[in-house]
Amino acid sequence: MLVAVLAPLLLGFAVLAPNRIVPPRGIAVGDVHVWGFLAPAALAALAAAMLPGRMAAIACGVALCGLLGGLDDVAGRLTASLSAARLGPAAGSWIACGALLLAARLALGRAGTGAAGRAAAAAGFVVAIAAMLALGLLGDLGLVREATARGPELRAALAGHLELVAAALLPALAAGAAAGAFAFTMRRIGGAVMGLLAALQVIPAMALFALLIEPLAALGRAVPLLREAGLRGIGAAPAVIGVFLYLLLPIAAATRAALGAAPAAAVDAARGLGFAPGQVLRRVRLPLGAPVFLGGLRTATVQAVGLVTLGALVGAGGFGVLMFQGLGQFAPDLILLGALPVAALALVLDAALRAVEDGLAQ
Amino acid sequence: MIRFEGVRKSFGGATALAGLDLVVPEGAFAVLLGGSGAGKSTALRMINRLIDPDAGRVLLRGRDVAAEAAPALRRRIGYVIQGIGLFPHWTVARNIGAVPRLLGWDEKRIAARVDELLTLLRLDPAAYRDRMPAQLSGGQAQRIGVARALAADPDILLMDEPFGALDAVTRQALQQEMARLHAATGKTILLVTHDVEEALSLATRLAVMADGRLLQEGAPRDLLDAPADPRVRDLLDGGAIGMRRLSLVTAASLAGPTGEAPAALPHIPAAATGRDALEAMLAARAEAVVLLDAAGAPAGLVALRDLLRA
Repeated sequence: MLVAVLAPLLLGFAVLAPNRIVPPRGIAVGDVHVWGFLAPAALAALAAAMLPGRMAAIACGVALCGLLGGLDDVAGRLTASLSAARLGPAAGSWIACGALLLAARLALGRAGTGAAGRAAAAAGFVVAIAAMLALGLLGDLGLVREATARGPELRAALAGHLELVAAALLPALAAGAAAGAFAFTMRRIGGAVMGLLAALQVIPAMALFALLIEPLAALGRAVPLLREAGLRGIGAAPAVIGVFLYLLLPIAAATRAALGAAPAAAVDAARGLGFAPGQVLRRVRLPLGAPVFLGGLRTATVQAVGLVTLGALVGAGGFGVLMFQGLGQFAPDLILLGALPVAALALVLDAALRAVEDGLAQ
Repeated sequence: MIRFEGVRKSFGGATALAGLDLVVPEGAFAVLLGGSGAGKSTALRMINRLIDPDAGRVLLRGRDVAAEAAPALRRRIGYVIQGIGLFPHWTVARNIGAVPRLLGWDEKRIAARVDELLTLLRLDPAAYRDRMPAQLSGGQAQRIGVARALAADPDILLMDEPFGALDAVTRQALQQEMARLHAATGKTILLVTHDVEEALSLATRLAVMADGRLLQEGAPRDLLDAPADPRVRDLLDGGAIGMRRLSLVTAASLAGPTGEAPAALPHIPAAATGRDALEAMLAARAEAVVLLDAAGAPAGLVALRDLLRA
């Protein structure tokens, strides 16, 4: 907790960039007097070290909100008249954010909070940040200014990202499950199929996308109908096909493992008692394998959310567009605007599928 | 009646059955005894078509089992295995009701049958029907396995090393349970085991197998007294042939009149075996035991020398 208090003091509190050309300069805690937020935040952070489990987690949340509020306060005072200026956290404040989140998670663990409790804590934190946004307490932060300026772009990126994930994941689910079922029934040939899918994973994502561009372009040229349907060398097609190929392995492997998850004795007993092959599958293998399959689906989904980001490099949409724009323009806030939603999306989908798994396990 | 006619089976290059001819009479408690690789499990699993023969045929009441679709055939045959194989995602009641449900019984009839079977296997229906398999001990789980096999009232019960994974005490309790069930229901039971004691204590008909062939078949006592093959003798003898013979006869069959027996003699139930009688004498350092009938009245006297008639 001392880390959360000392880091902003010693390693820099905020960075101010008047515009994208001038190099940013650091702002120390004492440079601007914004104790209204920071003093309570520091107190809450120190208190968290002494409070028991759940109270400590809440104190961490309060400290984090205070830190962000303090940053916004500074931003408001320093950049009010400069619309191109962006103020963001400096290294010390980033470390403090990380330390507070980590401490909150550890405190919840100490208190023995279950998955539902952790979800409630996360939701509470999101609500608190949303409330601060709604009250205009965060409106001057560089990231928030960037987001406000690019509202439509963000919404398009979210829609595009989800579309790309769905376009790759749903066909991969069908093809991967079929490949996994094939590998389960025909063990010898199936092993070769799994080996092929595993070999695909070795090709770096960028190389695979690039490799797909030329054949797809040629195909588009040869069959104009496909070209009109949106199949081109550049755009969504190589990204979707590339991600689809990557997802086949986790889904096929999970399907194969799921089909084999039922205890051998239970399967033998089911057959011996007179279950027809379809009944063995539906009543024994599938229900007992469902958690294994869902675990694989969760891996594949999170992988898809991450991989689709790279699709921006071959002209597909999604949050990758914002990230790579940010990288190109040396605009850290823009990079974060692409990266944070991707991380949040992955976490949310992961938590949702995990909740389904837990529901099945009971 | 189960009849094997010249049944052969090999897996890859390994011969499991090299021409098996065997008849299991209706209502018998038949035990297939042999070491590992003798082919006894393969033979058992051919009756419900989990394995099909390469040559020869298996007849059930005169009808080739291959003439019927395997699932329908299996629903008429009870099946109990060493691994028990309860469905871990179903309650005890749903496990027991599996075959009746396949046969399309209505729920009420299934529920009544489940309670009837739990009672038959000496488990309290109210306490056990809603449990999950993970909440059962090994012995309880195998009782449920037997109940599940009996659910649709099959005429034949196949048991593949059913008690092999249980501890000695539980195993003995379940063996007694099976002997009682056989006597009470008159079902034909075919049990596979490599345990000589288990085979001798349960079998009304004993078949000894080795290397995919039948060595000898008959009443257990006949096999003990007149082994047809040195391998049968070696297997059944085990350095305890006298004790085994004693354990195959009831003490009552060796008894003479009670007469004026000294009061100090030990007492055992009349249904006990000759071996129990010997044990009681040795334990009490007495030369005779008094048998008591079900009402507790003296029903005969077994002296040490009477045991020689076993």
